[in-house]
Amino acid sequence: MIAAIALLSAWILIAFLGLVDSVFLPSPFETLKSFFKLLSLQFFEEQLVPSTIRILFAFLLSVIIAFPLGLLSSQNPFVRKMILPVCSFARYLPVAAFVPLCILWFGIGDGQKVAVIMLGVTFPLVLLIAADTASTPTELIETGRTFGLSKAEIVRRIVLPWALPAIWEDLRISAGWAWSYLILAELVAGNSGIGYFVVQSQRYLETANVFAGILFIGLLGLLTDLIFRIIGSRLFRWV
Amino acid sequence: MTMESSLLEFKNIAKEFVGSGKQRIVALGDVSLSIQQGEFVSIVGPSGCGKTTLLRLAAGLDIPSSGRVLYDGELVTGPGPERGLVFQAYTAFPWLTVRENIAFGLNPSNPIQEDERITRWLEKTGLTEFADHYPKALSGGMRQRMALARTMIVSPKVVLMDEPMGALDQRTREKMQSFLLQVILETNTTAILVTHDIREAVLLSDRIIILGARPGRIVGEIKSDLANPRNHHQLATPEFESIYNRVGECLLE
Ligand SMILES: Nc1ncnc2c1ncn2[C@@H]1O[C@H](COP(=O)(O)OP(=O)(O)OP(=O)(O)O)[C@@H](O)[C@H]1O
Ligand SMILES: [Mg+2]
Repeated sequence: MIAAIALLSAWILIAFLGLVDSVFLPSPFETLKSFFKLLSLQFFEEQLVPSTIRILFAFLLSVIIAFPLGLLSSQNPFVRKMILPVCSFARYLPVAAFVPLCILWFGIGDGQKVAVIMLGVTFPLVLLIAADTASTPTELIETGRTFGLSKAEIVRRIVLPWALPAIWEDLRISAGWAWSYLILAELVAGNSGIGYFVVQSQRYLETANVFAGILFIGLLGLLTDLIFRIIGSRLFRWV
Repeated sequence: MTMESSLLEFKNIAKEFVGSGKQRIVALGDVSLSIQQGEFVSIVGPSGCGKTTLLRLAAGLDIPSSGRVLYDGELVTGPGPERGLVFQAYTAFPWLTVRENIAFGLNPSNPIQEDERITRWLEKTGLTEFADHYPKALSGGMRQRMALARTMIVSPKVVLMDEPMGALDQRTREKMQSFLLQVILETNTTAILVTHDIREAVLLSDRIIILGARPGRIVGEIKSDLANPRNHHQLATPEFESIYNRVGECLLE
């Protein structure tokens, strides 16, 4: 908090004293003005909606793939040996390096953005979900076994409810990554989206718009986080 | 002691584990033990002598390295609802309310009758007020009663208890002991209780099995023939004293 105030004061001071040309560093006032100008129907339709649809679609798809893979890896040693090494390796491949490849494969449209997000999110999410479900205490599983529950019933009635709060937390964190990968993909290629807006503004030296765009992205990330937290605290009252 | 009345039988049980350094750990040597229908048996012995292992074998959560466990004359190959287990740690399903925790093992096919049963067990355990709370709101003693209710509500033929009162204070412990006696008596359940507390063993059980360590084996067996029904006043009687001393001596050997 103190750091944030210090940074903001420095920014105001630099702008006020005119130390740096506003092409490089617009004043907070200009940034704010640009930011409020962004809140228009046109910006929502042309930039925000495409970005949101891409991230929702890509993130959902990642979760749909990662969830069963993660769960199966924690429950079945064979699947675990097949999947976890691949994911552990893929996790260290820099997503940025795949952006050119995604352009080659999927062009510069929505497919490329979705591919970049999914590449970045799916692999680590499999590992996280595997770890969350594997953390179910043995006594709970064995309590289930003493009641004669089958393996499937144990997963449904014990492993999943146990792991759900942790999985939700991991979804919240990986939604943050999804935003950064989306912006990355939009910066490099495309013709709509918030990332595209930022890079376009930079081309026309509308630096205040660049700043406003970045601010907007930050706020969107914060909002996503907040939504996850609120839903999480409603869903998992027992935690 | 006729053959047909023995409900649970351990026949020349040995159980080995492979330790972290690949060395073999003999948790139980050659253990033979037969428990009658309706009997209350306590198992005492030093830490690491294989008490938990013995219960897990009876529950079917582990399979012996050699020897056989028989339940009602049949080979035990896995867990089953007729053999209930109360764990050493207080196990609660944190995402279920107290009522749902207690009802966990019930088959929801007959909701009305089961509802009555749950209500009865909530009353018995004094948890009615907490029925709709999550376990995080419970004290250790309450959780332990909840775990016992969850095990007992499905009417197991044998209840296996691993130091269920290990972490309770003296007062709560005595209350739990009375509660346990009453429940076991009412339901006529066969019970095996692992405990560190010799007084508890003498007071609650018909027979006390003393285990020795390395390898885990039976070193003694003492009958506790205090008058039934048991109560805490018997702790001050010479009969109690005498049994207590005999168990203590046996443990020292
Ligand atoms: N899963 C396991 N893997 C390896 N060794 C084990 C395992 N379970 C038990 N043992 C070993 O077997 C021996 C008996 O363990 P057990 O838990 O049955 O003892 P216990 O009598 O219940 O002890 P305590 O009174 O401390 O609970 C110990 O030496 C323990 O280290
Ligand atoms: Mg033990």
